[in-house]
Amino acid sequence: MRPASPLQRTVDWLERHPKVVGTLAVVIVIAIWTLVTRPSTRLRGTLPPPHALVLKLWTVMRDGYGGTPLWTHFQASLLRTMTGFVTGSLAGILIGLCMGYNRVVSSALSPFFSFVRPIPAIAYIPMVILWFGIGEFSKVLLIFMASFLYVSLNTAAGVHAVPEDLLRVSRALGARGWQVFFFVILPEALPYVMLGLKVGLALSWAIVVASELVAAQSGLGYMIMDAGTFFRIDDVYVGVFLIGAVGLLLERTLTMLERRYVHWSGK
Amino acid sequence: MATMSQKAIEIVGLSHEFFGQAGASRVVEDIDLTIAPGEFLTIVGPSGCGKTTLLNIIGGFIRPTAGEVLVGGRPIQGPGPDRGVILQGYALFRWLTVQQNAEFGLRMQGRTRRDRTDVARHYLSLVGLDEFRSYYPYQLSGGMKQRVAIARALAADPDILLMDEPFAALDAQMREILQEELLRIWDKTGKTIFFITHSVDEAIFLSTRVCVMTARPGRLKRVTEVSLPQPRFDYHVRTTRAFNDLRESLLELVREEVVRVRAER
Repeated sequence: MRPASPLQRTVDWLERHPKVVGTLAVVIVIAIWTLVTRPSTRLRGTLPPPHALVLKLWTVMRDGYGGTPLWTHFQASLLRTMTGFVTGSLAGILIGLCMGYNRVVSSALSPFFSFVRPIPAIAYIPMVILWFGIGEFSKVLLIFMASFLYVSLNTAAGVHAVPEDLLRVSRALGARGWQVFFFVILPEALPYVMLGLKVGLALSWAIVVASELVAAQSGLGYMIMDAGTFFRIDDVYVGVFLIGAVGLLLERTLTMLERRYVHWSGK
Repeated sequence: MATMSQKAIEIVGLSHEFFGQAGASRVVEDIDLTIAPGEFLTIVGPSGCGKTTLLNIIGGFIRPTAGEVLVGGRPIQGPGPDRGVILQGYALFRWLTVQQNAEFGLRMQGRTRRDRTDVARHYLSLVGLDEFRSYYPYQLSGGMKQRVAIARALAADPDILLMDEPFAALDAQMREILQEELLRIWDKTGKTIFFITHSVDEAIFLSTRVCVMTARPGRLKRVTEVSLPQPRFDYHVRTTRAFNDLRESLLELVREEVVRVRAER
């Protein structure tokens, strides 16, 4: 075989260094972005240049938005998300375990789940407002529903997937009913539960923003909606960036927990 | 001891049917078999002859449609720690370390932590896994995983070991090494072993008696004493005249059944 060409060698090197490629891609996009948002271009009105956004981000972080400190908006969104997500997940795990453990419960609930699953939680916003008004409860309820659905279905799938051999071996080792449940079924289903939690949390964060767009006086969703209404373009972008950053942080936190507690999964 | 009758396992008029969408299908039929304490009994037969079903019935995982199984003179009431199970797929607890896997049975029985640690250590060193106690199953090779499963079963101190093709997934060399280790363990612990395999060689090398089963519905076709010298840790046994003669006759019996299954399909 002939020695690799310089081009081939470069490609090989890039394949082995994904982090360099990622950083490079970001730098290139920012460069193009800066280029197309020069003062002379027409894009300037709807897309601020990167450096203006960094500046704006700094001012918003220092002074807050709409007279309220940024932290208050963060807190509002996070509190709603966490309340809905934690209660929804706990209920989801509980019901999911029952469904996975008992065929009758599963058969009774599955038509409802099948029907509800394809409905995006956002579609319930008008309904929930009609029933419970535009207060905190409505927003938390939406998040509760979304995380409950995903966590319960995944938990049930996890319990179903526990191999029969594992149950037999543990019974032959002397494990009784509840011991089999706590020491075998629960840990074996944990990777599925984690997956449900990850999807559930990502969804919860999306829903809180959506629900704040419709009716809220605080929160990051409210912030971008308000900024849009008053044509404060920079603030809209800063808000969107912050929503992305928090979402990423939440996802990373769960991934970290997953690596710590279900390190054996998939191996 | 009162429970040490001359029958560790007694299978009486056992038949089992599965009820599927195509109606009832008979898996095992009219099995009568008595296994003495300390015996190493192997079942050989073509795929689908009901070997595993038989093991599952003795294990108490399946209730037979007719007949019964007595263990230590008493009819079995479901699975219990008197019958340890070792399966082809290891069925280890992935979230537990090797040490914790070995301790599992003792933990379920409510033994103290110190007790558990000592007993599990003892059996892990018996299977040569001293240095791997803190490993997780995914860090081990197939042969090591099966060793963990053996130590885990032994640590719960059952009278009987039920083994369902435990070495079938291992490569040829590892299989032979584990067979020799199992014989050593059997010699040391005096357990009664009920062993399922599709390999005639494995059956002859390991057991005191070999049962050949017919194709489905599985019946006992022939029960043969293996009168090779004991202990048999030495692999040279595998190439002796006596071994080969027995192999010849058993292979023929099994092949007849395999051919019959082929012909029916």
